[in-house]
Amino acid sequence: MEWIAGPVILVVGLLFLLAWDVRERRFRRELGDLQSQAAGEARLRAALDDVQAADWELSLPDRLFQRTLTHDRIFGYDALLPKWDWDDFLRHVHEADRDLVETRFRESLETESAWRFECRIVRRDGTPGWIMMAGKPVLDHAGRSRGHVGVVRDLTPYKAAVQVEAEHADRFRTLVESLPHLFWTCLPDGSCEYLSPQWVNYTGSPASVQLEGGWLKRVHADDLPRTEEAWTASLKTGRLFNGELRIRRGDGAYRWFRTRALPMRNLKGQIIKWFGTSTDIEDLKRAEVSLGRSQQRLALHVRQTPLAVIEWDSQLRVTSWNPAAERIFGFTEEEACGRYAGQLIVPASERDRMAASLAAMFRGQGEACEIHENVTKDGRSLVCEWFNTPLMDDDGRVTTVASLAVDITERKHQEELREVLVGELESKNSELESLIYVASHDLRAPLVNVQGFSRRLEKSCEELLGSVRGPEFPPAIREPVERILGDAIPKSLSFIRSGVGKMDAIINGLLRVSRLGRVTLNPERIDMNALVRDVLAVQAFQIQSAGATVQVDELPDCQGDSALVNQVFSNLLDNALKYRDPARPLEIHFSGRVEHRQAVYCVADTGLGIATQHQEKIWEMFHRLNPDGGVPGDGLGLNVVRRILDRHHGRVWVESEPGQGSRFHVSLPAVK
Amino acid sequence: MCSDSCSGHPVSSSVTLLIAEDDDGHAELIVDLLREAGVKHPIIRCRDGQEVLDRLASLGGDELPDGQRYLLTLDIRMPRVAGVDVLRQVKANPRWRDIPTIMLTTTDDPREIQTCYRLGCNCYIAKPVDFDQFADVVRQLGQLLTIMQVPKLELASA
Repeated sequence: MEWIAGPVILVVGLLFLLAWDVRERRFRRELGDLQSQAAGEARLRAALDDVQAADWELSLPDRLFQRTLTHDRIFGYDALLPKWDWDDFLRHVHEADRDLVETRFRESLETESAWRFECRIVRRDGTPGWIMMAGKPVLDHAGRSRGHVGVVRDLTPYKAAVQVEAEHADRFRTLVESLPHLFWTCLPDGSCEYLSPQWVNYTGSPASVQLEGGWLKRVHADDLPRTEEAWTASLKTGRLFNGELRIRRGDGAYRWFRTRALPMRNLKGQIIKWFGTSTDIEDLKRAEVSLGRSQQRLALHVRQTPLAVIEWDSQLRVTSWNPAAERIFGFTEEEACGRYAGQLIVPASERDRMAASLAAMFRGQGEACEIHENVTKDGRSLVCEWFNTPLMDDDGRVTTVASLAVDITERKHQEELREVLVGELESKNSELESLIYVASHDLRAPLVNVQGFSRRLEKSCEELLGSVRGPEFPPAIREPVERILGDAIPKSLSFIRSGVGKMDAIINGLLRVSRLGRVTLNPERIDMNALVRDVLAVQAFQIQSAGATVQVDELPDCQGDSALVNQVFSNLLDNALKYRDPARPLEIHFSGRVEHRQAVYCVADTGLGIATQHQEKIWEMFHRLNPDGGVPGDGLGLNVVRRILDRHHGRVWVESEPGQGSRFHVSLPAVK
Repeated sequence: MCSDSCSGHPVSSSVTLLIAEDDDGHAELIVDLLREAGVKHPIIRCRDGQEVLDRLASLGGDELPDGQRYLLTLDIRMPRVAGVDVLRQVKANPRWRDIPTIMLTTTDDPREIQTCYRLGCNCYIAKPVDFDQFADVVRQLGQLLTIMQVPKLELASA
């Protein structure tokens, strides 16, 4: 804004100089002196020359001017003309101003009073100019006007300056009013002189109302004391005012502004005005506050995190080291900063690898996550997981690598333990499998013999029996032999055979259960209505034989291995049919619903029911409610049901009352 | 060996049955049942898989009469060489791979059955513990023998 200072100063200076009223008296006195003192005259002329002014005398009535060379120069002449009268003068006045000039002069002749005017002239070479003429009648001792004395001053440079200043001021206003800043000016005493439209807009009340109180009136009360103090100091010292303060908006909200005020001085160095700008920095301020908060938060996290947070410079020296790094590696921040990775936490065996991986980071390559062996200050060895991130400058060069490290020594140890355990489990499992395999073959093989040879024994007995029936054997011998061969031995053999049958059933059951554990699940969406239809169709004969009626509601679909789920419902149906109550007709009811993302099915029967004390045992292997009750079965049906549901992360449970019936509930994952 | 088999008999009776069975009782029951079912073929019982392989290997010489045919039944769990390994070697050997091979074993593990069929066994029979069923199975095997087309063994010299 300094560009405006020059013209304004000049204008102010000239205004002072040309304040005719002020200077008139002195001028006349000096003129008086001139008449008597040649030296004084020379001094005055020199002074007038300085301001491009010249004195003259006009005699009346011939209207001839007495002039100096300076006078003629104003009109474009290099030498003093032999003669210059009022008409010569008028001829040089711009024709548009001639009327004005003549009117003024005539008035002065009539009133015999002092006169003054400004007019445009056309100089000898035709160039335009501006002059100021001022004169006063000179009276003779009789009081008549015998002529006029006065000065002429070349105003051309001043007028040019005024025009430039006006243009500048215009441009300045346009500029000021197009800026987003609020703009104001104050007089040297601090009173407000101008408030820009932006200021008026922002504060929401007209400038005329605000001018009196000044810009300070709108400053937030909390910011006012220091602002006022600084502003007063600036007014006193003339130093730049610069402050951040909140200014009230029209709606009462406050926003942060940076306000600067610049003093403007005249040539003598006196302050003539203060130019103030207020820039809205609310968003900046907020961003600063939020940045400050995130920095605080980040700093807190870095301090509190259990992760070691370490930064490395391009030489792989530590530049940052948080408390967790100290906890993990034992070195304090002071000990660690500035030292190389290799001197601190990397064992000799790992140095090349660690250096290579950090160096790769600086080249913009390298793995983000790596596991390294590290060593603590006291020589303990650790396994750490490292997460490395390159930090780049504006040119995209990696300047720093930031690393996060977790001590996973314990985890590694646990993993190793777990692997050992898993290995043991696997070997136990395979032992178990081979056990079952042995059971299926080696236990069966002898059974085949027991069965086969009991049958042979039976046949041998029959043959023997046939032989002893001949007449050659006396009854005393025949009868006991017949009793033994025809009764005792066959009875023993039948017990042997039924025992073998049971053993075979147990072995078969064991095999089924063990195979169930190994089978791979093929989960799919199951149409339960179709599945239950299949189950019923397969056991249609048994249902009919039992005289049972079966009712099936609409069932929701579920997710599962259809073969296994089929087995679940087959077993439940089989159970319902087996454990029916002879006292009443058997009714079996299939129903289903979806709750908590589970499809829950119910198979309800009107069978014997299960006593409360047995309800937990029915799920056990080989448990049979009534082993001698003539109900065939291997005692595995419900155990298999439960195993299948375990494998589906489902559930099976029973509600039952003896003499009423049982309700078996099955829950399976519902269709999503 | 094979003294009781003669060429000149009908094709089916020239077939020799090789039974690999480590359990003496089983072997006896099987042979009895086969004879009861009317099987007249020569039957040779081997006590383990190695014996089967040795016998098959020994068939390479001149002593083997032309036109000799064999049929193999294998138990799976046997000492020395298990039945599955015998099956694998028989089916991998170009000279032997056409020998009809029947697994006759107490194991009914589906994986085992799958393995045997994959290796090329012609039939897998699980021995039922129940004697009547067992007898049925062996009788069916006997009937199978009487109708089965058994190819001649390709000799090493052929």
